[in-house]
Parts: sequence; structure tokens; C-alpha cells
Amino acid sequence: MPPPSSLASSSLRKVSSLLSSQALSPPDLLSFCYSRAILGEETLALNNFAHLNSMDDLLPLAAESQRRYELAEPLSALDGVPVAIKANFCRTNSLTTSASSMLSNYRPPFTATAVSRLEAAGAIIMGSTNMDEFGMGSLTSSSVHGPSVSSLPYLPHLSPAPPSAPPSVPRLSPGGSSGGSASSVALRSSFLSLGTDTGGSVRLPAAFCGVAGFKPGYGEISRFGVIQYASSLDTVGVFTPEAGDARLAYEVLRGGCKNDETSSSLFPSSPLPPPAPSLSSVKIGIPLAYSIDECLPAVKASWASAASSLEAAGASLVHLGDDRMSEHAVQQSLAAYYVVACAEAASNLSKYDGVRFGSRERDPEASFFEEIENTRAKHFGKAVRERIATGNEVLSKEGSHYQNANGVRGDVRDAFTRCFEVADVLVMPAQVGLPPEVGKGEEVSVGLANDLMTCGVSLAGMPAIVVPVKGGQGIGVQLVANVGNEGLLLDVATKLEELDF
Amino acid sequence: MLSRLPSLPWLPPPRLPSPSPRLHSRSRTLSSSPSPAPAPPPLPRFLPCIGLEVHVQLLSPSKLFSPSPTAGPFPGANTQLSPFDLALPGSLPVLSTACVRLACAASQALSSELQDVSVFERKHYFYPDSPNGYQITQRLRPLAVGGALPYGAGGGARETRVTRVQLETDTGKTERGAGGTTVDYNRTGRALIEVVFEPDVPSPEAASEAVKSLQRLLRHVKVTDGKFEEGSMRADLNVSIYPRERAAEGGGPPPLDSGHLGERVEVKNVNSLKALRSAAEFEYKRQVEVVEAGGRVEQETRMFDKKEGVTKVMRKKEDMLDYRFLPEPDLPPLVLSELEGLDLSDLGGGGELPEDAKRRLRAEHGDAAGALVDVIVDEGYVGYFEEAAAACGGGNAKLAASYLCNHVFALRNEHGPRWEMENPGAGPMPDPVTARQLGDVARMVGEKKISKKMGKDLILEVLFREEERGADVAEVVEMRGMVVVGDMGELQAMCKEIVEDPKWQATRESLAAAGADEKKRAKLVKFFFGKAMQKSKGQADVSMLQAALEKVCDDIR
Repeated sequence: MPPPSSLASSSLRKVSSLLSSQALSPPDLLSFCYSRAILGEETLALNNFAHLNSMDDLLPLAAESQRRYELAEPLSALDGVPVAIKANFCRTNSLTTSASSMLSNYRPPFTATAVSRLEAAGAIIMGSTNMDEFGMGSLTSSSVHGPSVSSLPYLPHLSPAPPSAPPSVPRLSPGGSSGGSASSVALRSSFLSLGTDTGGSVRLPAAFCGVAGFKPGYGEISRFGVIQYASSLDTVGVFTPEAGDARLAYEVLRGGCKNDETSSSLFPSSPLPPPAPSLSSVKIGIPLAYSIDECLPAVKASWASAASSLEAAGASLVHLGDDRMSEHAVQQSLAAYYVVACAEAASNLSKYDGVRFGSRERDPEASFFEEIENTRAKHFGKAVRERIATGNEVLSKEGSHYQNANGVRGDVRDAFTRCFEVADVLVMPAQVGLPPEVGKGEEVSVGLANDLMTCGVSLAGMPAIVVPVKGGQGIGVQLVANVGNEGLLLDVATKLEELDF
Repeated sequence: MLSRLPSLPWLPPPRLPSPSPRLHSRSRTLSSSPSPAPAPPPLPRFLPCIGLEVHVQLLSPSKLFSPSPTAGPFPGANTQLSPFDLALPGSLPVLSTACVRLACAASQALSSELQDVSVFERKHYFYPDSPNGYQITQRLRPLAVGGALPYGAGGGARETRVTRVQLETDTGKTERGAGGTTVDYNRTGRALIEVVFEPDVPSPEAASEAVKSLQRLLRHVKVTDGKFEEGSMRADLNVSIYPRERAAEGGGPPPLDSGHLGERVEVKNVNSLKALRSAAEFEYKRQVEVVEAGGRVEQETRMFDKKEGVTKVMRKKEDMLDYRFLPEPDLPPLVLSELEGLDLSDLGGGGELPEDAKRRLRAEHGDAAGALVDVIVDEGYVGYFEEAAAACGGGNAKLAASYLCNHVFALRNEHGPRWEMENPGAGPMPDPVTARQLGDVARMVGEKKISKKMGKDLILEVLFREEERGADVAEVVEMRGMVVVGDMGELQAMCKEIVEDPKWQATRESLAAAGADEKKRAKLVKFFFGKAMQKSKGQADVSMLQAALEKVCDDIR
């Protein structure tokens, strides 16, 4: 078995090849990840997991995987790989809380398509990860399980021997809403984790935690079994140690399913195109409108560095001005995003009345409507209640707000489409600022500002990936491709990662 | 006021000098006997205008957005559930093509224009039997728009225009009992179409006629079983009134945009044709009273109270619910031309309207089958009958029709309910005899291989039995040795034996004495015919038996 210090910095591809050559056994890999999870949860109190499965349940799965490798019949490149899933993915009879008091004891009778595809590929589900309640937030701070902490600042202090007491480093937010999943991969308590991205919930935590976060185009991975936030924006995404790993996960997860009518009709999917030999034929677009004043210099510097590195590697750069992506479109995208997300959230969350599942405030004296009101007031957190109120408000104005927002949504999509007339892949920041300390940056404006970089892409339904910038600062660079161009996007991201930027 | 309504209020008002009621009554008081000709009742100053909205449950095997079965009776409450029916988190709607097909067939039958693209929307409200907190329906872009429903005597004497046909989900059932409120979600998510009509129905009677016609039409195209009593058809109506002189040219309510219609009042909870008519009548009368008392009719939603026969306020205009409509983000727009497994050219029922089917069948099989044809079409047995008619040959179709209406339907009505109880989830009972068997029976009777009585017995006693279901009729007849006695000599011998039976000596003598009194003679021959039929146990060919008996009786004279 390779030394733990080497596993702690391994990519998913590396681990997959070690398993394949039987230089690493699935039980050993599981033990490593499990010890990292315990270290993170107990010693470092990161609170990245909402629920960690027990070794008693996990070891037999690893042993089965090992037998398959011994017979040279692994189920996939992910066979035996420990994975973590965000707490909003349903899994039969497993606690699926969506980080809400409303679902604190909820065990679904079915499994999400994305999770069942991972299971069918032989991956081992470590547990469910912490998140913002129902995905509503960008810091993983609004969870019923308490706020999550990023593992990133701790990483330099965990070797050669794991510490017995937490080293003194800043307690930073992992970003959100999929913060637990991102931090888990950074710590290597899993080598792959599932997140969901509605307006940036995979991309921002990837940047904050220094891992790769890939969100394919809307509908490319089935949403069946994913607890809805805003249906027309919700996208299943993955975290991997490196951008080059995302393809392994995507090959297993991609393709629509009959249980989700909004998922891609490409099933079975056509194969992803093979990686191109070089970047020489690739046109990289830089949407200048995203260079906003609020953006930190360090973030802008990484953006510029990524662009120039790609150019140095042979890609051609195209600067995209106001005629393709206007500042107005960027500013408006944020408002439109909030209207659409809140409206759909208010609608999607109206099923939580405590009658058929979930928490319920029983009161024999109360009427049905009073009981629902009490249940919802008690078991929805503040952020969720605010979004529901906003959503109901924008929908009740005879649809005008919601309709206008959808009009803007069309404009934003058009702006991205215009960019892709002259560029293959866009490079832009993934965030506005650096990860705040836990308990700080709770002001709505901070969350909003960070969403600015990511929500336009969500409105347009396009695929995007965040490539972490080396140096452990919690900065990432976002690459965006046109609908259906996931293959090229992953290819360019992999090549960018290999460059020194 | 109601009792004075002309029976056909949609006809243009006769141009009579219309004295005011006061003058009229005074003239009556003053007039002296002898009694004058009764004066015509005064014409009402206001006439009703009724618009219908009918919910129709589709006869689909599964729910609109989930695979849960729909064919009852169910073993119990909450037994027909999929995750989506309970709105479990993470579950998603998956549109049933079978439901879309039925909705399209209904739209076609109403000549409503199918829209290639229609859009589902969420209509929000909290209620225990609506698990998602919203109903999935179609609002801005329905499945079909326009069209018309003919109704009234003589097949399509009038019509009410269709505004739209939309697909939507049904709710569960809430029951309040001593132990508290319980909800049964078995019905949740079943497919409905809502057919919205223009407010152009001119009377309560007409409204009831129109809904009856809709029921017949949609049963005919096999879209629904259309049972008011079981809730598979539910009607809401809206009623307004207009001054008589504002009637449209040729009678009937003025157009909606004419400004002459009063405020519309919606009436809910109308769950039978009788209730529909009573509710419309009451509401019309109420509105007239309000206006005649100098008041204003307010736009509101009222509820029909069947017991008291009145409508009561349910919601005032200012309390109208805000449904916060939202395009359903879990479903792409429905595009008919791209829906896999949907063939619009083959919607079943042939898209033929009942009146057309009746006309065609009469033309094909002669008016002799007239009344039977109506029954066959109304019962939705057009295809079945045509298959039987093809098997029996043209000349015997009337007999097949008669067997179908008299015996096959009787069997179905007698045994169907019990069969469905004993076979939950299996849908309606299979036809007691197949169309092919019915046709074969009629053909064999026509060919005089068996008697009519044998044909009836075959249907009622033999073919219906489990082991004979679908069996070849000729084989069954042969196996059972059913042969018609068609030998003239044999029949004459039998008749002679009866007539000469000492038991009937008196009758025989009367017959001999009847002589040229044909009437008396016929009566006596008829008596012997009955005896002969009894003796032959139905195995005799009827017309030959008649001839044989005549011969024997002639000999006596």
C-alpha cells in the first residue's frame, strides 16, 4: 500500500490506477478515507458529514470490490473508490436530511439515479455530506447539522503524522451549498463526491476548498432522487481532487434517465470525444464584463494568469466585449437568478406539510392549516423561510416578476451564445472574494456577490468547471463551454491544470 | 318565475303585445265571466346564460404522472401509490402517453384543435389531499382549443362552444370522521381533462342536456366511464343573466364581450345532472331576484347545497385565491409530434361522433335496427357490433343487434359489478360473449341451423360459462347436439299429435267450427302453436313449424 502521505495528495485517476494494478486494495483505501473522515469530524471538528456510515457496513463492500479486482472484473474505474454524497441525494433507507430539521428523520424509499449509477459502478458510499439547508446558501452555514468548516487550511498540518489536537489555523467556510462534499474531497475522506449546483453551489465550494468542481449542462445528469431546490436550475455536479479526474466520474454519471423528463434524451449517451493533442486549435474567450470592481485583486490575478498560461500553451485568446456579454447582462443575471430560484423554491417546498413524511408539529387542538403553519415555521430555517416568502411574493404579482426574470434569463443565455460564436471555452473567475471565516460573511450581500460569477452560467444551463489555483488560498478559475461541449470543457480544464498558473 | 319559463327559452321570443304584469292582473280582476281565454304568462325580463366546466376522469391504466394503477376497486385506502403521488422529496413527474392519447381522443371528438405544444403549470394551494401543494394543470397553453359540443333533441339541435381542453391531475379524497380527518391518496394524480365551455348555454335544461351529451360522446370514444355518481365526471358551472332584449340575434345569450351579461357567479359541488339543473335554476332565479330588488349580482363562487336545493356563498371576489401559477419546471413542454408512442391518426373510437356512428350504422344495416343502433352507440359497442355483424353476414345483423342489446348487455349488467369486486384492479369484466361468437350465433340462426330460442340459450346459458368463453360456436352447437328440426314431415306429425291430443278436444272442435271466421281461427291456431313450440323445446324452425301447423289445422277444417 502506498504511504498515507502520498494518498493524501493523490488524484482520483492515480487511486483508480493503483486499484486497477492491485497496488492498492479497496479495503486499504477505505481505511485511509475513513481515518481521514474521523480525523476531520472528531479531531478537527470540520462537520463535513451529516451522516457517516459505519465501517461495519462499508468494509464488506470494499471486500467485494477487492474480489472483483482479483478476478480482473472491476465494475468500472470507480470500483472500490470511496465517495461522499451531498445530503440532498435520496438513498433507500438512508437518512436524507437535505440539512433541514424538516427531514431530520427522513429515509426515502428509493435511490437517486446519480447515486445508483455510482453504486452500480462499484463506488463505496461513505455517507452524506453537510450542506446549506435545501441548498439555499453559499457558505454551508444554514444547516440543521451546524456550519461546516473547510479542510483546506489544515492540509499542510496533517503530515507526516495526523495531529491529535487541531492545529491553530483560521476556521474558514468551505463555501456552499455543497461545502461538505468539497471539503471531504480536499481532505481525501472521499476521492469523489456528489454536489448539486443551482447557482454556483458546486463551483464556489470547489474554489474555496481547492478542489475541482464540475457542473455539466442542465439535464446532463438525472435529477431523479435529488431533493429539489429550484428545478429549472438544479444540476448534479461532482468534486474531484483534480480537474483531470472529473471525466472518470462523468462517464459513469452522465446520460438522462426515464424518471427525469428534464434530463438529456441522449441515453445511452454518445461517448465523450477523446482529448485533443494540444490547445492550438482552441479559442479561449474572456468575458470582460465579469471584471467587476468588487472582485479581489488576487482573484483577478489568477484569472489573468490562467488566460495567459492557456495562451502560452498554444490557445488563442478572444476578448469578449459589451457586444457579446454586457455588464448589464451580468448585473441583471443576479436579480433574475434570485427571482427564478426563489419562485421555484417556494413551489417545490410547498409539499413539506408534515402530513405524509418529515417532521410534524402535532397539535390536536389546531386546525389542519394551523398545524401546517406551525410545522413549517418550526422546521424551516431562516434562509429557507425568507426564500419561500420572496418566491411567493414574486409569483403572486400576476406572474410579472417571474415572467420578467425569465425574459432576462433568455437574454443571458443569448449573451453566452454570442460569446460561443467566437470562442470555444470561456475563462472567468469563480468567485468575488476569499473564503470568509466561519460565522462571518453571513450578510446576504456577500453570498449574492459570489453568486454573481456563477449564476449566469446556471441561467444559461451551460457546463462549467472550476479548476483550483495552486497555493491553498481558496481561489479557483472557472471554465465555461457551450451546451453539449462537456468533452472539450474537461479537456481544456485538464490541460490548464497541468500548466503552472 | 321558473314555472313560467317557456319550455324552449332559446327560441326567439314570440312577438306578442306584452302587457305589464300589473295591467295584466288588473284586467283579469276586472274581467267578468264567462272565463276569458287564459292569458299567456308574462315573459321573463331576464334570461340565464350558463357556462360549463366539466372535469372528466380518463380511463387510463395508470395515473397522469406516475405508474400507479387506476383500475378499482382497490383493496383499501392508500394502496395505489408511487413516490410522486405522495410528493416524496426527489420524486419527479413522468408523463403517461396513454393519458395524452385519451385526452387527444376527447379533444378530437369535440372538434377541438390539438396544439402541438402545450405547457403544464403548477396551480398552488394548500390542502391535505393535494400532496405537492399544487395541482399540475394547463393554463396559458392548453392541449386543445376551440371546438363545439352538439346537444339536444334530434342529435345536435344546438351546440355549446368549447373554449379549451386541458390535462390536469386529480386530488385525493379527504374524509372527516369521528376519529379525525383521513386522506386517501389513491385518486391523487389520476388524469383528468377539464373541458371549459363558452358561456353560451341558454337554460338549465339545456345545460343538463349538454352535459348528458358530453357524457355520451366521451363514453363513445372510450375516454371515460363518465359516472357522476362515482365522481369520474364532475361539473362546475357559471351563471349570469341578461335582459331579454339583449339576446343575441336568433336567440340565446349575447356574446361575452357585448357588455350585456351580468357578473358571472361560479357554482361548485354539482355532482349529478339533476343537481346541475337545480343549481342553475336556483342561481338564475336568485340573480333575477337580486336585480329586480334593485341590487347587484356580485362576482363570487358559490356552493350548491343539494339538501336545501340552494347555492351558498363560498368565496367573495376579494377572497379569490391567488394560485401563483408557475410553469412546471419538472416537465418540458408537451410536444405531441415528438411524443414517443403517440399516433394521432389512430386515436381509437375512430374519432367518429355518436350521431355520425348512428347515421352510418342505420345506413348500413337498415332502419329496422334503428332503436337498437342508438343503444349500441350510446353503450360504446360500435366496434363490437361491427365485428359481430361482419361475422354473421348482412342479413342477420339485426338479430345480432337484438341479441346484443337484450342478452349480452343483460349479462354484463347482472354479472359485471360482482366480477369487478372479485377481480380488483382488472378493470371492467370482459364481454360475456365475444363479438365473433355473437356473430356466429346470429349467422347460424339465420341459416336455420339453430332456432332463435337456441341462439338465446347459447348466449345466456352456454357461451358465457368460463369453459366456453371464446369457444367456436359451431363446435359448441355440434357437441351439444343442438339441431333445429327442419323436416316438414316430422313437424307435421308432431303438430298432428298435438292437435289430435284428447286433452284439446274442445279446442279442436272450436277450430273446426270457426269456419270462415278468420279472427277466431287465428286465435286458436296461435294456441296450438304455443303448444307445438313447447313440445319442440325450441328446436323447431319457427317458420316451418308455423307452416306445418297451418297445414294440419287446414286439414281439420
